[in-house]
Amino acid sequence: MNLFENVRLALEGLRANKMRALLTMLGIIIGIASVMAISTLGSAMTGSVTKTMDKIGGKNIMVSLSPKNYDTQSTLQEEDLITQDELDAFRSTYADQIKAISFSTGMGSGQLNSGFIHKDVSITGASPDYGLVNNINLVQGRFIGDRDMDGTRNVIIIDTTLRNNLVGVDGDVIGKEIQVDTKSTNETYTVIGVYEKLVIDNPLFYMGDDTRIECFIPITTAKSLNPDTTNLNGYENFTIMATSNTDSAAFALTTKEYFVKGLGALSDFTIQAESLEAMASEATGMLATLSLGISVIAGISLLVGGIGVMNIMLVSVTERTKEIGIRKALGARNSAIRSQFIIEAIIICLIGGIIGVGLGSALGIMGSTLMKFPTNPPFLPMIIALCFSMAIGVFFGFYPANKAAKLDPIDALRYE
Amino acid sequence: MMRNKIIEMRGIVKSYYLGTPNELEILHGIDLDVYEGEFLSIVGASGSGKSTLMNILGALDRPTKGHYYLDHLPMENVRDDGLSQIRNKKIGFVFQTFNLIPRSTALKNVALPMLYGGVPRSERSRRAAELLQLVEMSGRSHHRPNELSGGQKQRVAIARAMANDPAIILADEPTGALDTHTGRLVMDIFHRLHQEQGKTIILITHNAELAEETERTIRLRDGSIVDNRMNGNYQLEGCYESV
Repeated sequence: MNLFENVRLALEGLRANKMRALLTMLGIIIGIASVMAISTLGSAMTGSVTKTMDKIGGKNIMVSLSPKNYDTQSTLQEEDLITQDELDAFRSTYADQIKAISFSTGMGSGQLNSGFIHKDVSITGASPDYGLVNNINLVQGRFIGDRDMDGTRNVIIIDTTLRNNLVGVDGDVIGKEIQVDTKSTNETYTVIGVYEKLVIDNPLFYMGDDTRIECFIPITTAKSLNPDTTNLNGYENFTIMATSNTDSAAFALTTKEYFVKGLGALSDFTIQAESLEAMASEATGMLATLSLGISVIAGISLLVGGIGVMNIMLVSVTERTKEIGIRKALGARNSAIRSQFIIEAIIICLIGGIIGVGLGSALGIMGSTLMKFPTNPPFLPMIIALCFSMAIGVFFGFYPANKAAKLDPIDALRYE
Repeated sequence: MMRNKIIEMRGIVKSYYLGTPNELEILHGIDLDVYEGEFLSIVGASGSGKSTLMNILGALDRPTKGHYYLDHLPMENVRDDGLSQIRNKKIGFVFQTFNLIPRSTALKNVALPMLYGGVPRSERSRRAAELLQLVEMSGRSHHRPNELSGGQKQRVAIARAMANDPAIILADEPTGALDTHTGRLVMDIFHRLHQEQGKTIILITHNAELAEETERTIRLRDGSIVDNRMNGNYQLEGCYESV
């Protein structure tokens, strides 16, 4: 039997019963639309997480000493700290997996005074690799170098907002001296670089608007200036940047084990090593679970939709018993009648599927736009959804179609 | 010279409820020969077995016993799909209630048997248009059945019966749902098909007047043939020794 004729017949039938067809399709539409919407949102979220990770350094592992027990007041002892020698040994052991190690220490906030300009700033002492590890985007000058470190120089890197405040957008601020007063220090620093502040426009990573201006000075300078610093030769926290082909989650565990061994058994402290990538994959993992849950619900909706299609096809077969009898009298084989009704069921499901894909994609695009990561609906789930809706048509259309095919022509002709 | 025997029935028995206490024999051994180009009528009261005989003649049903050759083909042991093919190619049905597909146009209705017969699309349309012209329905070929009068519907149905150029046209009370005037027009079409195209036509009716118009009338009573005679001046050339 002619496929084209069957499709035409099915469409004619649907046009004759528009409302009924639409109601029948509803279950399929809802099911397919929710699958499409969630897979579009899913790919938007994964995409935005990956993009943000690249921005803030997804390969970073943050290592810190933390008290084993927060109830007791533990003070960090000199022997707890990780020494430069230990770090060098670690770095040479895992040379192929480490790209950089950076250190930083917060100096707290202070006020910048330069002429009539007074600004609240926060000061961070950073090592030369800090710029690389934290993706600091220098637009002018340079970052902290080894000689700044060795000489504990009073040099500072400021951000573009501050530069604009001090000398205007086109002004040259490099070499200019500024004074920063913190709680315990009043120091004058020479500006050596200007960086642009990283903007994370991802609601998933929203951490509040940080309006403070962060300035960087050499970590050695910071330590020498800070009266709270007891030790100059050890570190209580640092950030490792893993190479791009390293599994940073696994390497975080390796790092933790390595340094825990270095700590004395009697120490009140232990090592925390967390990879950003692992934290992000935890977030996307949660999303995957959520998608799975919604897919299950969508599956139930599709099942119910399929049963609806089967029901309406049974009604249709009964309504058209006479027509089936006529067709058989005119020489239609059982297989021709069967394919006519199966194709009708497939068409119902396919149209439902197409509407569902359209609706779901629209919802997905809207949702991903709200997430500030506009994403086109993924192609593969679209094809799968359409194929699946056709499969529902075949599965739930078969029984009614077979019933039609097996009708006795004499009985069917006599049916009123 | 013997004329071509298009239907040969020998000892056709049809029973229902086989093997149960209320087994019912409707046809009791029918012998029937129909020759090519004959216009035959089968008459009988309701309950005489007319419809049952027609169903067997039309390959819609199988006899319980007996032999049936249609166009020299034995009909025993033919499977469902085989019967479908025989109905499609060898038989043209005309029903009392027209039985057109309501959602399809006259043209599509006429083309339908050709669709099931695997005739290519362009050829279907061409021949369907030709057949509608034959029954003088060209002007209404794109109308649906509910836009046609009873007589028009029956003319479309006759055109449809002719679609695959069948060996016999089986007309079951074709004028039963029509008024006398339109019934007359329909009968005229049958006469024309018979005379001009040499079609073999079997007319099933309970109208004695219409039966008189045909060449030969078979009368059924209680499942047996009780009369088989030539009407008026009709003569069959040298073949009726068996009756």
